[in-house]
Amino acid sequence: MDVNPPRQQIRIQPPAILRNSQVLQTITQILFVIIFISTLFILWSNISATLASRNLFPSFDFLNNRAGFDISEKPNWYTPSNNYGEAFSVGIMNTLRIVLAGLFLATIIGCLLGIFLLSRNWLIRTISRTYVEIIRNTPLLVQLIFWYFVVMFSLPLDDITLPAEGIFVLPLRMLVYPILLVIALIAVRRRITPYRTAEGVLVGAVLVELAYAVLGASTPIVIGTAVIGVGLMAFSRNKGISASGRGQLLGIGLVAVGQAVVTGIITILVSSGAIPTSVVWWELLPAAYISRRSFVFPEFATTNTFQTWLIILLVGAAIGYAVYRYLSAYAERTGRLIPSGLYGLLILIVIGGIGWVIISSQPEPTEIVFDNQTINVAQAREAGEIGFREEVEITTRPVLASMPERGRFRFDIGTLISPEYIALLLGLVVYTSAFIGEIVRAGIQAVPYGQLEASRAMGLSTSQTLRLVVLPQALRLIVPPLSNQYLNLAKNSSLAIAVAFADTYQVGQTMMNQSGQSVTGFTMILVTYLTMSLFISVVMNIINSRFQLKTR
Amino acid sequence: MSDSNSGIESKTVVYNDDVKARPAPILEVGAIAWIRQNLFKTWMDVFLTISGITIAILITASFVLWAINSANWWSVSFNFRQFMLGRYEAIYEWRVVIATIVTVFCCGMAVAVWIRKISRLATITVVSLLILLFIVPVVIVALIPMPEAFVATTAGRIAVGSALETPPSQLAFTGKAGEEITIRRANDLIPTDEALVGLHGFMDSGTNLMRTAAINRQTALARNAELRDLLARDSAGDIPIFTQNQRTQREAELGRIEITPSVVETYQLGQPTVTVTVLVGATAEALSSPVRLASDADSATFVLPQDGWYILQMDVPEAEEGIVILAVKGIYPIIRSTALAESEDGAVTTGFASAYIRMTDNFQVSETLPSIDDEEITFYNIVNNQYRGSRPLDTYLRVYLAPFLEKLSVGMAILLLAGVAGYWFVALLKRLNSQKFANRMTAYAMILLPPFIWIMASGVSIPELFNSSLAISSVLFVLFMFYMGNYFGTSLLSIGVLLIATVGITLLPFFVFDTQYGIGLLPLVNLLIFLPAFLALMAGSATYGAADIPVVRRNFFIVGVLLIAFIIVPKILLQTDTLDLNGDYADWFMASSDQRRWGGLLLTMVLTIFGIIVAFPIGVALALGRRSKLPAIKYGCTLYIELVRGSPFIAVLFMMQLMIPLINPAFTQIPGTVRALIAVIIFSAAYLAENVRGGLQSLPPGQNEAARALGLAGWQTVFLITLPQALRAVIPALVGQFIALFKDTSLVAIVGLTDLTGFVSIMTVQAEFIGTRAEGLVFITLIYFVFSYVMAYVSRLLEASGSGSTRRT
Repeated sequence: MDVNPPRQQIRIQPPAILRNSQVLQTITQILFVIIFISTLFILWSNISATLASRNLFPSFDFLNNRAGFDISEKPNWYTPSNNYGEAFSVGIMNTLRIVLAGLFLATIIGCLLGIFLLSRNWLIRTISRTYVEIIRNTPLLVQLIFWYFVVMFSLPLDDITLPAEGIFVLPLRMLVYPILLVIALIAVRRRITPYRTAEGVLVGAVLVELAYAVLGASTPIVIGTAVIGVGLMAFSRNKGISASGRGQLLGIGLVAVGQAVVTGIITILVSSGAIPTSVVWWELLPAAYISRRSFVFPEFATTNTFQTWLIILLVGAAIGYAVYRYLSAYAERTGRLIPSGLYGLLILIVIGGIGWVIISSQPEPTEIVFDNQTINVAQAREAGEIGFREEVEITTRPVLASMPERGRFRFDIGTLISPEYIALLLGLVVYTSAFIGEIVRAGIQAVPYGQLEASRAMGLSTSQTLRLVVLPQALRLIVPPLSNQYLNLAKNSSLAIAVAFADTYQVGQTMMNQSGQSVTGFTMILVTYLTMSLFISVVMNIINSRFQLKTR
Repeated sequence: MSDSNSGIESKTVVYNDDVKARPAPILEVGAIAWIRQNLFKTWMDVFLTISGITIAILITASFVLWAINSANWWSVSFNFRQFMLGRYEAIYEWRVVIATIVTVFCCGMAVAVWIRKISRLATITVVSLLILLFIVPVVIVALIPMPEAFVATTAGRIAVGSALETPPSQLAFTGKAGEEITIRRANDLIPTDEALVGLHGFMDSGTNLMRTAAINRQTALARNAELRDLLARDSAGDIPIFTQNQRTQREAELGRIEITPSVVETYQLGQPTVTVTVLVGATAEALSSPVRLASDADSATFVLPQDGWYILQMDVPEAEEGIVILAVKGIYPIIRSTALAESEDGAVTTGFASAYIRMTDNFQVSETLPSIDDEEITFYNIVNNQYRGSRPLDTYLRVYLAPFLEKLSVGMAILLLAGVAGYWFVALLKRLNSQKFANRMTAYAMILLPPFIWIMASGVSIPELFNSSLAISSVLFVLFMFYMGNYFGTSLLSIGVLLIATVGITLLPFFVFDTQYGIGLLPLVNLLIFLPAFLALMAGSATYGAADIPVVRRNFFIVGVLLIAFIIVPKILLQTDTLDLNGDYADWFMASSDQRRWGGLLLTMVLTIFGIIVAFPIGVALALGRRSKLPAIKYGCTLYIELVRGSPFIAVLFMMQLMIPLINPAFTQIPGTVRALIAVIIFSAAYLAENVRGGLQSLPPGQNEAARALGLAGWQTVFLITLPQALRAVIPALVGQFIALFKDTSLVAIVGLTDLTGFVSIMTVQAEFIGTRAEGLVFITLIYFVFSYVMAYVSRLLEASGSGSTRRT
């Protein structure tokens, strides 16, 4: 029995031209384009018809109309009587402010977090892991709302001052400890003293302070500690003790003697009146005022000579970079270890410093015009009428800094930052840094352990291992996802609308609501964000291409 | 041989006693060694550990103290339903419950099939947590009494500073039958100002005024003493404490501080006697004769006969001066919830209805508030009588935690049981049939789940049902043509059926529904059905003669019968007048819910799940398009993907909200939730496309070449070789995308929808819940965290179990 009987069929063959794959492909593409364009056309014609029926045909003309709304964060020139275009540009500037600061901070905190995630310290590892998991698994919007409506709103209306205004008593005596510690560290490194001397210095500091606190810093006690110290130092030369023990004893003795000597000198100097009390205690001015209304930080004002100095700095940077490149090439060629980056930086600092000194030593103008009034500098200075604003006009120093100062109603001097900006920045940085931390951890962990072992076997130091072996390989894996996170941060900055920060999107939406020009408004918003994304992508691609494996 | 041995006495002595095992150095083993190794190895470690411990303790302690002492968790437990479902119609709630249970059941099946083994630790943890969830509230309720409520009363008025308060002599409250109300004077609790400051419990505004006055006095006293001390120290020592500016400020402040006399004495707290009684709300009859509370030992107890309103009557004789604060046991704050009263199906509003809900146990009374002379009596409402003062732990457990756990426990138990049932169901399937069968059943369940959830949540009306049967019949028709090609080849018969049936299906609305529906789309529908059917016919005829004939014949007939059924059954139903399209039975099958009312977790979940599911095929198509060799398609897809990926989600979301109504006037009817869903789909399609493209790129080119060498057609290569492997490879990325989308849906709050995040903002606007934003945020953060974390965890398990990999080891 035939299961599968042959059956008659008429095969319908399409003509040969329709069986040509090139023809078919062309037809497909043409069909696709037709469908694509007609869909767009239908959408466009429907939308524009609807809008036209409301007298709102999409155009960019409205950008010249008066905006009429105020923006909470704005440069000085913006008022509600500026036009829509200018309002939108303020929004773009605000977006750039938040994105640039966010990228910078998120990268630093993210890298720290990545290192903490790899820490050998169990507690630190666990805390950072918990932090990362909590932050990564909750929406950014919820976090932003938390930062703004919970944290910022719980700030008091009166200013919190940081550091609190008051008297700071400089413990001159205490300065011995850090100095001795640095000396000990250098000495250990140079193999002058046995190792663990620095540890001994720390222990000694605690012991000496305990002794002074319990027994009092009277003359016999001071002399007594000095004697004990000398004894310990002598005893530490005993070869019978292990090297680390000798180091510790030496450190303790060093501190005891050093502290006794310094205490004695300071006592004599103060009692003889050689040191005025103003050296010992300082009046502190707060550097930051924090309240629900604003955050105020010290102001850095650029003066008339700043541009000249900037040019000098740029020249310095160029020379420094050239030296760095030359030294690196030299190190590469000869195999000698030269801290080329350090030398480059030093050159920049030296040139900048010389430039500063030269510019500052120019004579001050004798008369300035301030607020349409001519002021004689010498007279005004005599009368104490020169404030910070006048000083900025007078001085020849390129940059002038000042602590915040309160005027009658608000801060006259100081960099004012709104709580909205801080909340948004905090939210974006905390959220993005958790992701960056994970990326950095994964990148470093992906470097095979053998690489580390090999570099140690070759005698590289820890910093050299990190700089020359681990990071170049880790960065290759870190940079591509990192650029994704940068893009996310830039786009997420549009959530500013949740905390009422006037960024591109928020200003754009206000603009659309007022003018009804939704199509144009969206086009402008999208173009802004696309440009920003494109810029970040391009920059990150350039960086990425530097770290990728160069294969032939 | 034996001789030589016997002569020598071997002397092997083992001194067991001498070799004592000394204990290992205590610093090198055990917990101390671990701590040394892991926490205090270097100086840097010591520093990090100490600062880490400090920060962790500070943050945890401040959070726990806030949660126990001052957080108003009641806002979360009272609004629990809104957090879960938004304003979803109460009468359809059972459908969502069933959908949830079925979903968890399917998840149980999936766990059994794809993860296979659950660790014992996880099982024990979950079960013991659940048992705790049941036991803890019972224990708390049994052990801890409810806190007292404080009511201030006086013959005159209470005037503190600029605040003026006339305490009502009648106070309405709700009670259950059999409850006891005990009233006494709270004098022993507040003998002094210090005690008044520390008072905590439900307080009316009079009591709170007293307490605030006492707190202000205490603060002023403390600040006064502190400033005096500081200024004295400043002028005494060699080194000053204050700058000149600070000293002037402090002196001015000291001059401004005004110390009021003791509150307890000024207001003669607890002096007057008071006569109390309880009246029945409806009739205003006294339960028993009034009780005079003259001394602190006196107390009055009343037993309530039935559920409903009662009035507490407090009378202070005119002649007596001062204020007395009563401690009342059995009266708790009440919230008035006024809602639009709705008819049975939720469609028609019939006016306003007030319900009075007791805060502590959700005891509800719908009777109208008792009134005297047409004036409503003040009732013990939540807005004025909140819990004030630093709350002790036992009150937190009794008033806030226990009711919430009770609310959770039953639901959690049902869900867990559903999950376990799913797990065991698969085990049963495996035993009855085979692993393969169980896998296939689970896969079918997972495929059918989303439409099921959608139908259950949104409901289906009869016209929608007919439309979907039309859609299903179209799909069946395409399948039918495939098997036709398989069975008959590209014969005249097949072509004829194709042409006739295409026209037939297009004209179906006229025959079946007797409507003009779809007439404007006629040519497009023709094209839409004809093209796939034609392609299916061609594809089917490719294996003509080679396929397994009995299987083909079987499938051919099954599809054919189904096709006819899907066309004929609605027709019969209509013809026999079983259903009237426009009459009372229009919503007969399952009344549709208003999508505008969706909110809370329901909305978040619907947006996420359906966003991903609908976006998935679009994303795959875009990914394939982007890798296409045809430039027009390639650049079109690339343009779409990059455009969407470059713009922020909030812009896409807002654009859809604004633009969709502009496209067609009829689209203004589309609710905001659906518009948001469309935005989610548009947005996630682009991201999914990139994920899938990554998977496609990771495939070795040999796969593609081998498939070509075997003679597979282009579409066969894609659908049988490359795509399955690529999709398996990107499962983790897809789960990551799912989690990201789950979090991103919170952005719909900005365009005014009430998902989890949106509801928190709405909640804090209500008078009863002002200032509870932090509590709401903590709660939703917990929800978001648990879901995202569990999904990520399951994804890791899935990866580890190898279910996603191509080859099974």
